[in-house]
Amino acid sequence: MSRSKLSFILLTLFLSSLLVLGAAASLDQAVSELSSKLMCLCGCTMVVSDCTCGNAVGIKDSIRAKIAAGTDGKGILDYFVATYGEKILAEPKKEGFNLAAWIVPFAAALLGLALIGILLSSWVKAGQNEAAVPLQEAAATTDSNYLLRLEDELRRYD
Amino acid sequence: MSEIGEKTQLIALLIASYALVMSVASVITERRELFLSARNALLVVFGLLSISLASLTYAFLTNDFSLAYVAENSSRSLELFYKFSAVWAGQSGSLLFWVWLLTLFTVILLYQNRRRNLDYLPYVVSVIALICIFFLALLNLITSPFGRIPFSPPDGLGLNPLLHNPGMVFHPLTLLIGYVGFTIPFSFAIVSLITGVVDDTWIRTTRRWTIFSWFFLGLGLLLGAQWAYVELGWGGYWAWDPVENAGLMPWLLGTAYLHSVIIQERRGMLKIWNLLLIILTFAFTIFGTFLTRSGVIQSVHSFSESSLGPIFITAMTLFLVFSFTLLLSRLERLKSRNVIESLLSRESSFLINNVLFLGLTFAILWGTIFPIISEAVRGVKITVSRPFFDTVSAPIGLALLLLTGICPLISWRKATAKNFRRNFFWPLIFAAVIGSLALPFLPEKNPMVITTIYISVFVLSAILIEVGKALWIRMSGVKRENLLLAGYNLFGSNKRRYGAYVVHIGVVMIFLALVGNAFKVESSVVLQKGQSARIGPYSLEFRGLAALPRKSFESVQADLAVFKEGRMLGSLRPAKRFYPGKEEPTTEVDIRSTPKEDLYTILAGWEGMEKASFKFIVNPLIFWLWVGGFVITFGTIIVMFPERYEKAAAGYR
Repeated sequence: MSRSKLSFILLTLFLSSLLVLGAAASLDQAVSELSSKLMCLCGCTMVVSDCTCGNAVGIKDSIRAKIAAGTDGKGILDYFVATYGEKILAEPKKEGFNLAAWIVPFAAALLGLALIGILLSSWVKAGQNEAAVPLQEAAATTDSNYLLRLEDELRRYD
Repeated sequence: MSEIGEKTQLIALLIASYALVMSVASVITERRELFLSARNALLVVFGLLSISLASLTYAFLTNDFSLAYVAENSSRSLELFYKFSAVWAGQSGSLLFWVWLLTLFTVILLYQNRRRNLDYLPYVVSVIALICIFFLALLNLITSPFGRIPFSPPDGLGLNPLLHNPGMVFHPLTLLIGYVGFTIPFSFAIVSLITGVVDDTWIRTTRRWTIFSWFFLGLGLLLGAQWAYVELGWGGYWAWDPVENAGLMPWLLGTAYLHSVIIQERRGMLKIWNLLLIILTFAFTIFGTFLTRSGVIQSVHSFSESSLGPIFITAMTLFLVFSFTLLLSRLERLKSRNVIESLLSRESSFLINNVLFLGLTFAILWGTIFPIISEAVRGVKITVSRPFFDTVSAPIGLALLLLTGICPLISWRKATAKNFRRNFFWPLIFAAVIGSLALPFLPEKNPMVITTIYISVFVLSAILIEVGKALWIRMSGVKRENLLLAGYNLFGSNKRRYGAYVVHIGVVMIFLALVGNAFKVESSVVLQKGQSARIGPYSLEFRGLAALPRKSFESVQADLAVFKEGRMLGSLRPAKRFYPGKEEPTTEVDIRSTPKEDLYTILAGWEGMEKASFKFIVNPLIFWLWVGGFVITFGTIIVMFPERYEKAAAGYR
């Protein structure tokens, strides 16, 4: 066998093995991704991808079998919801009432930031409208800790 | 011996009630001797509860299984070390420990204030006595650790196997110290509302208590994460479990409070806000205690079940109604002159920081209780777990990290454009250059990860430049100090500021460890003896299984030889343990930890002694999570040291 033929065969074998490995890796990845969206039902409160109990292993095997049978990700998740109910999903579906789970935290944070923006603007305006603070008042509002510190420093440098 | 503990627990309830009556009477009649009597009564309560705690510990050490609590949480074969920790392994023991800690802190507080805040103390003693009465009533009437069973069993059920870990000895301890510690600032806050003396005396008096409690709560969370990492065997450390969330929420609120009180101290603003924050923080510590030990929510951290739920909820509701009514009644006095000079000021950045902390707390609370809301509205059980919390908390967490860098760079009152350019220029340059240099090394270009890296470099360089500039002034100025002396004097001159910088560096390290989580690689394999598997840069050869009988359990342990680039690095021995009377074995992982990554090995199962299944995980940067914890500890110690001017102030009195 010529050297070029041998190289060609070896290269083909190498690329095929890469493809097989790639397929295996992507299958593992797909199983891992889907199992991270499902809760283990052994009482551990973890997602299936994290748990190593028999129940989690069973679910992972089932996912693997369904992928091999050509079922897509959504179909697989739907199957588990139909079998065990919505509680098997690790996060609420982004539809109907469950949308509230997703929207409310961000809406609350944005509302909080908007309120603080309004409040800060009004405080800045109040500052601008105020005439220069009389000396006496300024001294009264100065941080008392700072005064103690100043007094201490002055004593030490006396 | 346990009879003594039971009796002292009951007498403690009576004496605490006496302390409440006397302290309230001293407030009404303004007679100091009544207060002294109340104060002494609380000291006696501490002594009595110490006897109760000692007698419960003695019951564990002597295997007194006539006590139901001991029988449920210990066994003859339990190691001595864990017999001590078993005292707080269940609900009633934890509650006894909770109230004992409170009385211990009260003793320290009374000693610290023996010549100060004398007008405040009768009120403070009343509030603390009331809280003691609540917990002592629970202990005496509902869930006593001294409850007996009709006949003493020959052996106990044993400690929950998951608690057989040194982390689980210190984790509840530190968490409880954090929870209980917040009672002190809360009590002073309530007293300031009752008395109407709403200046910042209560904040200054309890500043160190707040930092102490905040630190221990944070340490408790980190130790809990460490326990989960080595004991639960799933390769992670934070699962957003309801009990974890219950501990995180008061810590977040406490962090917001620690920042916002600075504005009250410097500018006399945010009085209502600070009171609101400390009330909420305390409420969440009670909620945390209740959630951890009541068993109402299924959790990996909940080791007891009880009927305390309705009582705690009623008490919480009453407490919140009382606190908020009090707050509303003082609104007129609490109104402060809210004036700031510019939107671009440190005051503004602190306020935004507060809103984000509160927003994050709300998001976590919302996720934790949403299953209950959903079931009530739709009648369908759903789960809200890690993917939800990761998604919701990541953007808020990153915004908070960014503020960690921005806040020290913005001046108080008003930041000018020049000041802005000067302070931000180099941190931004460092972030752009170092962040971009790091990109090619990332296995995946995840936007959240890239953002975290840029922000982390920005924050680190902002802090280091600030400290560097101050050091340079000391080293090159009139004094010409050497680096060590300059560092010592600099940190000594403003411990609060520079200690906080150190804490922030620890926080950045923790964020970088979180980044590593995105590049976690895992693999599940089945190996015959002599076979190897590859994961990341490692090759692991399975060299066999061994059955190892131990005093309190039996273990099946795998021997794995670890190779990297053909060189043997050592052996890892993951195992499963079988405890008598427990159906499920526990997973004992074995980890090879380096600053770059952890190699985490789990023995999942086996067939005969020659074939076993494993899960291997390469966890990048986890090491920095624990280092970050140490750095935060160091920073907190700096912050807690008294300032020179405080010592001077003490001398003026």
